[in-house]
Amino acid sequence: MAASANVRIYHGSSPGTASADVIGSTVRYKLADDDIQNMLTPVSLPSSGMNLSWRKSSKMNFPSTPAGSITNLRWFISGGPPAGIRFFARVQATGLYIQASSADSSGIVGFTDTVGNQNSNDAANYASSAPLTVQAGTVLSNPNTGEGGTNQPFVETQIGVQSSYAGGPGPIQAFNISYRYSET
Amino acid sequence: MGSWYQTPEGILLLNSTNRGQLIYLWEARYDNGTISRMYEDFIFERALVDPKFVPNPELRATVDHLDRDHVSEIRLYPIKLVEKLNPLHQLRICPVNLKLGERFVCYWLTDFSVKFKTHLRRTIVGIERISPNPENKFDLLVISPSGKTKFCHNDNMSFEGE
Repeated sequence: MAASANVRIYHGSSPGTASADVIGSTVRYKLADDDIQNMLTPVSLPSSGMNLSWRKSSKMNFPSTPAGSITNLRWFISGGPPAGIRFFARVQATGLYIQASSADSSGIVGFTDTVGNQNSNDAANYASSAPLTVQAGTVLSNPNTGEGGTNQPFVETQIGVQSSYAGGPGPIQAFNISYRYSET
Repeated sequence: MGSWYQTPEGILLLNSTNRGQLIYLWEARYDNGTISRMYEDFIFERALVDPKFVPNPELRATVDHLDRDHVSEIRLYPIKLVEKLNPLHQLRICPVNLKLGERFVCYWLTDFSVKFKTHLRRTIVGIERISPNPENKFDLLVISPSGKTKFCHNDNMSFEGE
């Protein structure tokens, strides 16, 4: 049976252009606003502290309509990145899309700009037993398809490479992100 | 997902049931004796006896259309294919005896893995009530495709391997 949902990453200037369905390891955190599978703009290993990637903005997309509704959309990780890599996540305000830029590497205000914000928005806080709430209410109902418009805010994420990372150059092992929702 | 989901039975069950959506067919019984079903009768009954038949998910009725104030019982019938693959899935009869401020809920809790591009749908039946205590707002029976069940007050749980 065909998939009834997928996840799309947005790039480019506002309102952003949705990618095709992202699969497996095709989401690349880097110092660029794309997911091209290359080594051109990596997040370098710092001599101390942490280097941040540019942000990613994602949404769930429902190409086929539910019989009833999609509600209570949540987000969580399982496993997580390797030691020395931090992963940050938050829900962006409804309808707001901010294009990734070089300014993100300095820390995003309210998100990753301070140690306190980094700790608060560490994706490790969002396991399956305590997921990040993306939309507590209705995302979309029959007969609608798509992302639910302003009913679904973006999930913004960012990678941080710490000086303690020992994995060497190249992409890290892909880890799993999940969306959870109630469906009728 | 744990080891059962990687067995041939687990893989076949998930792939055959729209990732857990069609494991059970629901039937709602009203207090006046009438019945409302997930599918038209001929589809519903064939699914219960023919191990090679799985209903089209796009033809299903949603529980959202039920007259919740007058439902006295929800029945979950495993389709014949599932019954043969996993005997843990049996007919489940869930009485609905609601008190003031309560309503019954019935939905799929769907986990979508971005890495593996897979859904996993768990069937949930229970009660939602008006309560200032979030721990008392829900009484939920969660049934995973593996056949494992949990009773919980919150569907934000870890179901790893279950």
